[in-house]
Amino acid sequence: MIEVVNLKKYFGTEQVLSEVNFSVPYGQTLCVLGPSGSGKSTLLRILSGLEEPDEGEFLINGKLLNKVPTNKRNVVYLSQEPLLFPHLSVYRNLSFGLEIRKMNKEEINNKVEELAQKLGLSDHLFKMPGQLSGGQKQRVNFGRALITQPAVFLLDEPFGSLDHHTRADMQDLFIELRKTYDMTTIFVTHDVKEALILGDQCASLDQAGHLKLYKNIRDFVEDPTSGARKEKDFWTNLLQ
Amino acid sequence: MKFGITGISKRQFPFGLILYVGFLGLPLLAGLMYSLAYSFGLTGILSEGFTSSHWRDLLRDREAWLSLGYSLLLAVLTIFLTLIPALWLSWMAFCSPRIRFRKWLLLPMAFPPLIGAFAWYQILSPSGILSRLAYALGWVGSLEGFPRLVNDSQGMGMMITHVFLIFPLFSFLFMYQADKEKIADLWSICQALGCHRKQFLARVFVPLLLKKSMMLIRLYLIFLIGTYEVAILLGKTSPRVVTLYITEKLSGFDLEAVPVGHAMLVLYIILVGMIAFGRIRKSLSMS
Amino acid sequence: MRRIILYTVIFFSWLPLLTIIYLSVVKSWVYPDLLKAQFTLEFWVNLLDPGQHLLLSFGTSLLLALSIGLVSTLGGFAFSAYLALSGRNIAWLGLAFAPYLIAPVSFGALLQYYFVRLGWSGSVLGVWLAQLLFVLPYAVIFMSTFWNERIKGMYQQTRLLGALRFDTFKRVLVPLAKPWLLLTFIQCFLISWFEYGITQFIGLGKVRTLTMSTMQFVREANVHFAALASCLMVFPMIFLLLSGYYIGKKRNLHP
Repeated sequence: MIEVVNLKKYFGTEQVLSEVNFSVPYGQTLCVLGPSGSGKSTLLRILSGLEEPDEGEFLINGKLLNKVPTNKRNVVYLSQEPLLFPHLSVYRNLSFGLEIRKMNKEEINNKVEELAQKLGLSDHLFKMPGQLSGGQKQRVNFGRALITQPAVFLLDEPFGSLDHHTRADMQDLFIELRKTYDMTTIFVTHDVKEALILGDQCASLDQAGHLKLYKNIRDFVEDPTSGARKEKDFWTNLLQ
Repeated sequence: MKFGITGISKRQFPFGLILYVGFLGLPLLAGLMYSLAYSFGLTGILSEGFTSSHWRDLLRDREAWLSLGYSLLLAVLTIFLTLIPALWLSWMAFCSPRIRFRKWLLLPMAFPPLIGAFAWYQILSPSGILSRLAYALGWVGSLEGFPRLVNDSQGMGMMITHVFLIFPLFSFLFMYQADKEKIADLWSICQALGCHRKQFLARVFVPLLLKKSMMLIRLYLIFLIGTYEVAILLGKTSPRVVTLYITEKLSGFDLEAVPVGHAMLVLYIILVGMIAFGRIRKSLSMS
Repeated sequence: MRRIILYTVIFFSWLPLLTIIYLSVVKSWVYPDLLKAQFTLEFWVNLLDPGQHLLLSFGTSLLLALSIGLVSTLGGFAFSAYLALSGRNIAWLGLAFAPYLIAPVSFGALLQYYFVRLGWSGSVLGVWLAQLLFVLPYAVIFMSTFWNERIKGMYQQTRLLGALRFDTFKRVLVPLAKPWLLLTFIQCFLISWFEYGITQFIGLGKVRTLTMSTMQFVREANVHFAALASCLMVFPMIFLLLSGYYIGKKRNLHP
């Protein structure tokens, strides 16, 4: 369970996040929409420990994380660019998190092979990142994070740079992985449809840094500022 | 509270920053302070308390201004002479990519200025290789007949040596910039717009490369103003370059000249600092 | 025509090397003879003569350049990492540009007073320290080009995966920075190897590096030994530069 309480962030005099409050139950996904510059990425960077809030609290299962360093939060932040280690093979990228935890080789091998199979990467384990397609790279990126069993996934438009088909494939994969691994996720996206497909809850951030949390999907669709209605009207008008 | 990407708070004791400034800034600052104090008579063997007389002596000294102007003029001319072959070679690499010559240009970069100056002295001096070649070809009949190319007022030897030392670097820089700026694509666009090769060279190729390399051109201008070893071997006593002026004042037997030397050292550092730091700060803030 | 100009430029680049090699293997080269001279290897053989101190100068220069190259590369990596990862203002990097502005001889002149007071002038250690203070900023500048947004992102990603800072450097950053470290080492080695002005001011003529010996031969009009010393200075550099050229060419420097 994630809880964010009264989170505030300023860059100079500009308020980027204004009293942000929400909670995400264990195993669920909160999708956050919002225009560019509305502080979506800043929110995720604060939760991952890459930035510090000016005010407010961030808790996982009741434990306050504000002062916990990034490497001890057990939180993973994935962005649009996969940022794989270019000098390590797919196998070594996947096993990285376990190697630094000094796990024994046999156990690492079992876990990597099991995960690679789930991600459809079994045939690519000994390739270098430069030899992979965009979708495959993002799969490795997910796998590298999943293998360490993080408590929370913070995903910052992870499929933003993928083509339409690969994006759809990755969304299916995400739904499957979420079920298998009970991932608790905050998913930032620009795409209303993606938010509707992947989110258990939806929220939107406006330019002033206010977060609006919707009670249910209907609320979200009916709100004129969420953009969902506009999308719905577009398709309805097109078919008429 | 602002955080770096490590998550380290900036409010923590800035140990790293203190070390950084201690190693990179403090020695220079301390040296500058000492020279400043010396130039105002606050320290030194003949010190008698604060006085601005050494600065007045410096500002009245015709030789001092001559050496500053001479250094600047030589540096500007050398840069100009360096850019010509460097631009030509990069144009050549663009027009005839099949001619491979890059590694043949690496050699001068293996030459320290001192060795470059020594070698060019042996080539350009009245008894040097060129003079002997001119004699063999019947162009001159004796040592005296060969034009003065070293230790001359025009600084020919110094300029040739400096061009030799730095033109490969600029050639490589321009070739790299041409690749980076996708000059071949720009050429295609210009062709589509009805541009001739010469127009492309004059209106796109040269201005683009010069603009993109302006920072390094300025830095090398400053580097050339501070030339020392080359000037020792190939320069003249009068006019002399600014570094020779400073070292002669600081290391000479005339103790009264030492504060003037320190004043010139401070003036030289302030001048090059003013030329460069505005540019560097601008470039850093842009980056 | 284009090729003729190109060959002229290449000849211009090679003439000084040919000159110093030629002068190191001939004697009795009297004006106006161009190529008529007595071929001899006696200057090269004399290299081993302890009276000439040339091998000692070579050793001193090599030791200085190797140790300064190593220490400044490591220091440059550490300082550039600090500047890139601590989120400090990029303007701090401006401090590292100082040696680009000030001629080495002026830098030596500025430091001289303090080195004399501390008893460090006239010693190899003093010259080593003064050269290090001059070379270190170059290393910081070279290494700072390594820290692009992608590398910083990879650092964050590694930390988020639970790695300690030491592990992050050992397993990710140092392997990725290897070509930079090598090129920075070569550059720093070159600067120290070429250095004359600082050594003159801080070494007070007591520390005989190869540049100091060469200058002494030149002042004594000992042309052939000066040419020999020049060859000793230039040959290792040609090897290093060619290595650097091929490293830069073969490696795709940014992942």
